[in-house]
Amino acid sequence: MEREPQPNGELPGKVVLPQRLSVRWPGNARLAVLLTLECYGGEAFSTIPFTATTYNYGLRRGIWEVLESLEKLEVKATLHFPGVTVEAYPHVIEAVAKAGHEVAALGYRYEPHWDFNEAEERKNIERAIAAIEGVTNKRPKGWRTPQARPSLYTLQLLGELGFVWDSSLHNDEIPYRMEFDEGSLIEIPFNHVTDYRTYYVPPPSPPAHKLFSVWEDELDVLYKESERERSMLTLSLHPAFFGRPGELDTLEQFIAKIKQLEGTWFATCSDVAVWWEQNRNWV
Amino acid sequence: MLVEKPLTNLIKWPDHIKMVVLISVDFEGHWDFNYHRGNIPDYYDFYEHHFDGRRGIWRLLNVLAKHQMKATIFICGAALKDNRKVSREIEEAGYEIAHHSFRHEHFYELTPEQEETVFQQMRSAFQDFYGRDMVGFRTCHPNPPRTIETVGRHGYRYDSSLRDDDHPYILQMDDGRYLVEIPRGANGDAAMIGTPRAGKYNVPSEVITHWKTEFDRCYHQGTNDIKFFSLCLHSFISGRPSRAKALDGFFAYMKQFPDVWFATYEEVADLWLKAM
Repeated sequence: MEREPQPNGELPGKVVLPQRLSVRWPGNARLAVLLTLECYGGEAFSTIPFTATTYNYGLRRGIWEVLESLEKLEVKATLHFPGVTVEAYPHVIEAVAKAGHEVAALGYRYEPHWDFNEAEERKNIERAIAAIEGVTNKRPKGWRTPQARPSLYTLQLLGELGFVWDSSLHNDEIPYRMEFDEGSLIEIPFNHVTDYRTYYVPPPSPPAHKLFSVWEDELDVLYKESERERSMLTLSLHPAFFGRPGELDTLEQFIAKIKQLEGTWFATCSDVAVWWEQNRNWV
Repeated sequence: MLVEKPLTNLIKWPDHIKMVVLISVDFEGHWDFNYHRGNIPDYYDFYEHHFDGRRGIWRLLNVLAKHQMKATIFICGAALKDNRKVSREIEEAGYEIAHHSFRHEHFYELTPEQEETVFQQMRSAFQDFYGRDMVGFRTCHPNPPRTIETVGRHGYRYDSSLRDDDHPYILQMDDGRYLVEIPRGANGDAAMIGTPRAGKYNVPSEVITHWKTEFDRCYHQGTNDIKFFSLCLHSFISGRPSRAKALDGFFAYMKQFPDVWFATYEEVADLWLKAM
């Protein structure tokens, strides 16, 4: 296993980029829209106890509101859970899976992976897999590294341990393939502009209409560009914040607006990863 | 030692101008990232910056081209070989190209010998890629006055690393040669930033409102004293869709005003040198 960054600092692994203009989405859609949620409470990270209660809102109330909205709007999402959260809230994970959304991994605890050695990393990933498999009877296909801070080993191990996709790196607006000595992954980027953490951690958070005005501009530019270049908008949300009435109302309006545009495709990360794998001749 | 000198003659401005706008882009090609431990990057930060060469610079160049905006592109020497296509296209599109250190070093962390090595590596990289030296230099992290003296010693026409004025000024070196300092100014897309180090995020449209206030002030004050409005952009910041859109609107705004001179740094430096 590679134990050093590449000379220019990149993670180990061979990056395979598509020919940009040849990228296509199913049904000739022009813009893929990925709603991803990071769902964890105070059990998953070290914080002062009253702050933890803000996050616990997400598993106690927020997630049910979000699931109801997604059902009403008939869109599927990808929901990430750290292993400890799966262990603490198995009924939540069952409900998410039953509603047809994708259940994905988010580490074992919600902590950066940047200090794990190879053995620790392997153990973390295996515990995360076991937690999800224990509830859904299926191994997760996808992973996000907490705080988007992998170690040198994270992605290589995910490839080896049979994950199909990872969503941790912030450097692109369409997927790309990463190949390792053992295994490969489809990388599904998101970024700080579309990430709840940028706005909510630490508080105070912006008013919902202000935040969504930024995301509407992201959508506007990517949609216009997608006439020529197919593209992808990946949002990262937490039900502790987006399950609140104000945020959820604004989110619903945003999703409804996207659905009215021609050629948009609400997809789970697996939908996108499987499509990408099947169409690798773009390279 | 560098000594500031007053101008010998008046500046010979182009006809009918009320203000000068200097647009610059720092193209770092991912090299401005934080390390976590030893030689291991903080990969959150690394991949945010890696967006720079992958997508960000392309979108930003499109916005500039849409408005036929003149700009000076400061490029990190180490970014050239990993970003060959866009580095060629920047040249072919006719932008002024300038030096932006080698790997975006923090010069206050370097010894004088290390600083000298960086300048040599940087100049070699540009010689290898473009076959020539450029006339301008900027670092986001100078160690003044030492780094500015190094700039002078290496024969640049101008430096743009300091923040102590809106207007250019002349520095004279021991051997009598002049170096123009064109300060980089306080206006930049760093005000929009949502990267982990800044830890905060401003809605782009609000930042634009602030820039419009500054621009308007410069324009309307320009009757007696031509003002400078400098905008420092980074493709890993302004290359994100919502920022590019805000910038698009701001460029359209500026272009409405007559008698604005959109200049390159080289053009301004030459004007100052001619006045000595």
